[in-house]
Amino acid sequence: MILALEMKKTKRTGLIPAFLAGALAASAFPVLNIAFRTELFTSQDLPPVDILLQGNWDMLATFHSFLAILGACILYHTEFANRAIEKLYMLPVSQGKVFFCKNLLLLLLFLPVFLIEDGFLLFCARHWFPGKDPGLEILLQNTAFSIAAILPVLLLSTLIASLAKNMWVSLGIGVVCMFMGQMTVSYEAVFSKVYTFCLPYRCLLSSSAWEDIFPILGVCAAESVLLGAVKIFLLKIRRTPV
Amino acid sequence: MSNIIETHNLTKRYRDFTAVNKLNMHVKKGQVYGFLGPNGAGKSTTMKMFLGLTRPSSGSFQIKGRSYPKDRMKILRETGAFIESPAFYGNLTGEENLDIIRRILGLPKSSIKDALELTGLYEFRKRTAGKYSLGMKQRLGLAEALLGRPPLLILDEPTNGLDPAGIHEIRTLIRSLPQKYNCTVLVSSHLLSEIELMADDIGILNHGRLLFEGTLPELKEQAAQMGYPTDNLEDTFLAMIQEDNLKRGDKR
Repeated sequence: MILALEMKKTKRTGLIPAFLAGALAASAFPVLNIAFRTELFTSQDLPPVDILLQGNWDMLATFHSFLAILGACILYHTEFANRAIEKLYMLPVSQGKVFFCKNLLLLLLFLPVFLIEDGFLLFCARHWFPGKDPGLEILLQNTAFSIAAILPVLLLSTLIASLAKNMWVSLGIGVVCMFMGQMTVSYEAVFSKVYTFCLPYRCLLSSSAWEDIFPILGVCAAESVLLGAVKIFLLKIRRTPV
Repeated sequence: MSNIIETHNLTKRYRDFTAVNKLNMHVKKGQVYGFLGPNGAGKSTTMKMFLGLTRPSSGSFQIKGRSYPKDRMKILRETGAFIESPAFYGNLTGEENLDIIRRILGLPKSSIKDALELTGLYEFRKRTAGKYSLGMKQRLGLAEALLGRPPLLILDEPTNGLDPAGIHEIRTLIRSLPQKYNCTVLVSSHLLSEIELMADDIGILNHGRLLFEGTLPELKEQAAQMGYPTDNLEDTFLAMIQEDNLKRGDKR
């Protein structure tokens, strides 16, 4: 029921058009990238899916992180803009449930985003690597992996957005966190392996071994649980919305 | 007559400031209780404590025999509230705003039409709430509180921002609620003239302390005994507040 209400609250907020535009912009990137630098991509002796993901995933991950921040900001801005969240606190509804349903809604919105991107990547694979396996299975596995990797980012973004009344504050903090992830992801330090905003930059290739994937999934799960627990704790100690 | 709200030495402190000080108030069932006090007297803080929006520092209260924090959800299910200013989703229409609350409370769809008609918003139900005028937003806040006709209504300065005709209409509505819907209303204001027209019982609060609790005739009687002016209740109220302020000044 709460999920349906959260869906209803997004009416006229521009959330769905924002996700659609984000998906199309992110999907256009690999097409343009390979169209302008065809030789660089087609000359590599790797499966097409690996070439495409390795060459484009950093930019796609940046889009994903930004969409997560944007979505969280839009969802909580509608709550704070006309003090609707205060009314919510006067109703017999669990604020924890509201928070988790907002995350579930964003996660569900990410599914078509990933699938649209997969569609465009498949197009690239078929068009520029004719006769080779486009790697649909790997792309779908990567989608499942990406959903797990984006979850802690969503939880952290919504947590920040739920604490700041001013949307620009949460957007600013989110963007700084996102750039920190983008800058540090290539380091070998432990920080870049566990930092929430570094996780979406990991992707699953045909050469990926499960022993490399499981630790990342473990970090995602642990961070998701931790961030959820932080929100529940904050709700317990803070009665008023902000 | 049984009390629907009872407080026992209810206190709220913010560091070195005491907003509500050992408050013992009694709101009788089926009455309109006017909660009166100057700005900053602690009226909104008290109401926020009733709704669980802020925690009491000490003391306790009971609503319909239920205590906070144990029965907070049960209390909220049976209480319609409007605190300080209207709260709504600006991107949704008036009708959609009420539908969100209706679904949370598990009320029938007809309750939306009922609340919109009661507050005179029915013809504007399809307009987004963000485009409402101040008065219409105020009415939407009231409609949200009245949705499902809860047995207890907590209204904090509900006529703020309304034009004279709107104020009269809302006053008449509040006055009629106990008879029409068998509910109890706790309504706050800083204007005695307003409370005088709506309330059966009055509680006067100043600097977090309850100076008086009783009916209007009792207030007049007490004022006469204490040598306050009784011809005009506004003057009685002001004299009462002024003397309390002077006493507090002496204590300091």
